[in-house]
Amino acid sequence: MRIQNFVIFLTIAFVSQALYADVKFKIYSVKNKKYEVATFIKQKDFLISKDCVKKNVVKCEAWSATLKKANKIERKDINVAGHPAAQYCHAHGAENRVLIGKNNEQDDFCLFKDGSMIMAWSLYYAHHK
Amino acid sequence: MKSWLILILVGFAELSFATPGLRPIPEGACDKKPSEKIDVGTMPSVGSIDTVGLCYADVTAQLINKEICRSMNLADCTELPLDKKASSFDLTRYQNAEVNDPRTMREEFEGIDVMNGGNVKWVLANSIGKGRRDGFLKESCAPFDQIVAKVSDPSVARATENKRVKNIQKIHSQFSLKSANCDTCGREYMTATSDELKDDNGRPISPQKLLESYGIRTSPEKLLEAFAADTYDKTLDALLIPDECWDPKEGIIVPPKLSVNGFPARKEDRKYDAFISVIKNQVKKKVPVAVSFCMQEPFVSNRKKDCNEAHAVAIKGYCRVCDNNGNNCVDAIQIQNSWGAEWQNRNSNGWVYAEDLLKRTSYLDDTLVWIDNENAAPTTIEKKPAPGS
Repeated sequence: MRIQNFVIFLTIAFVSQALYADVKFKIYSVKNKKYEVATFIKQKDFLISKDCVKKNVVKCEAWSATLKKANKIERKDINVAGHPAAQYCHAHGAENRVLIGKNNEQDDFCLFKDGSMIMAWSLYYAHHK
Repeated sequence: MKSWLILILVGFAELSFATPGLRPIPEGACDKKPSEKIDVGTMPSVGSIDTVGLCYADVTAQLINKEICRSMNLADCTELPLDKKASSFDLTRYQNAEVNDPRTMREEFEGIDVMNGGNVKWVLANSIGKGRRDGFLKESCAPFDQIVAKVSDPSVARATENKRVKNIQKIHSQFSLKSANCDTCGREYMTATSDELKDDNGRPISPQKLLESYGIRTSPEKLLEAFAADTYDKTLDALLIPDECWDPKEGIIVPPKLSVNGFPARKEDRKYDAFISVIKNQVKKKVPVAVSFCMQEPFVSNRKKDCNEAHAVAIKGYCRVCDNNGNNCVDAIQIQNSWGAEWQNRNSNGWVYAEDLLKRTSYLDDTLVWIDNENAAPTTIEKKPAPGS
């Protein structure tokens, strides 16, 4: 029984670690002309800036955006589809930034005015099920 | 039991949200006893086009970069370094040049256009066609993520009349007017505080300072040169591609004697089966295929006059999945999209229903485009041996 409990404890600890582990991407700083590290944390189904979580409270513009679906921005005079999740960042009043993750793969993040970020596809799919 | 696959293939997939033409097959369906499955091997790392209309340029770069991996014997193409990759952003300079364009050198194709779509075949024909090997800039010289950070989404900006783009255009036109008046007037205009331009706090600001606030940090001389260009596309070209990137040493080298192929040609069969056959043939040869289609809803046709949401992706795999009795088969193709790694992750790693996508091509001329390397001469670039070889 004790071994079972210990295994359960280890499993929970491992899953928690996996769920709340930091995820790092590289972002190019136009101001400093170099790549800098941006750290994210998984919060529910979203990958958001680690800075959004302080004392177990999640508070930032990126997190607020998850609570409200934004209206699509009509794009006139453009005959290309573009990137739906990146466009959705703009619909939320955020910029879209392309960050570099593992294996040099690129991913899109919405960058809000307070500097907080959220993975663009996680925000898009949360509101387009 | 025997009907589970059909249920999953047809029912469940219909319920999930899917982008028009890119309906994913159920996760792992191509791994569970497919009757046939082929792929081109690893591709260059997945990229993202941000919101600018560069899907065709990204796909073109994927095809070129895959060819570079082949010529380098690079077993894992995701390891292709930035200084060996073609810059997708720089490829946009070829987008308005038709297949028979007489220009032969890269520097003759002036102007970067991030607002409009383009044609994969035209870009390839003018960059690697005609035996040319000088048509590319290294991705490391003008990395896309750095460029878009500076451009700040001009595509959406056009639609929303973004203040920044309007200001850059205003500076361009004012600079042209002032320069016409006297030799030094353009220079003076760039550095003098102007009532016509305001910073984010509403205070008057000089054109040069305003551009710096947009992240465009370049020398005053370079700014003057950029704004002296006669079109906005050329101004962007001069602002965003660093001078040193025009040095031939900064270009990448592709194997000689590559050619560009498209399907269908004017008199070729334009039925679904013929398209699948061409895709399978190329994928078997480990050659990815670019496909252009229309994502607009409701779908009318892929002709320019009918489609406001054109898109292009690279096909890198094919599989045919049937039920346990070998019936109810469907074709699936694996695509590499330019919407970031997370899109691939959330969409069955790019495996989508082939018929859904191909019917949105309208089976037009040159819907499928690929690089033909059958006559390619051995490359002279540095080779990295494949593991185990």
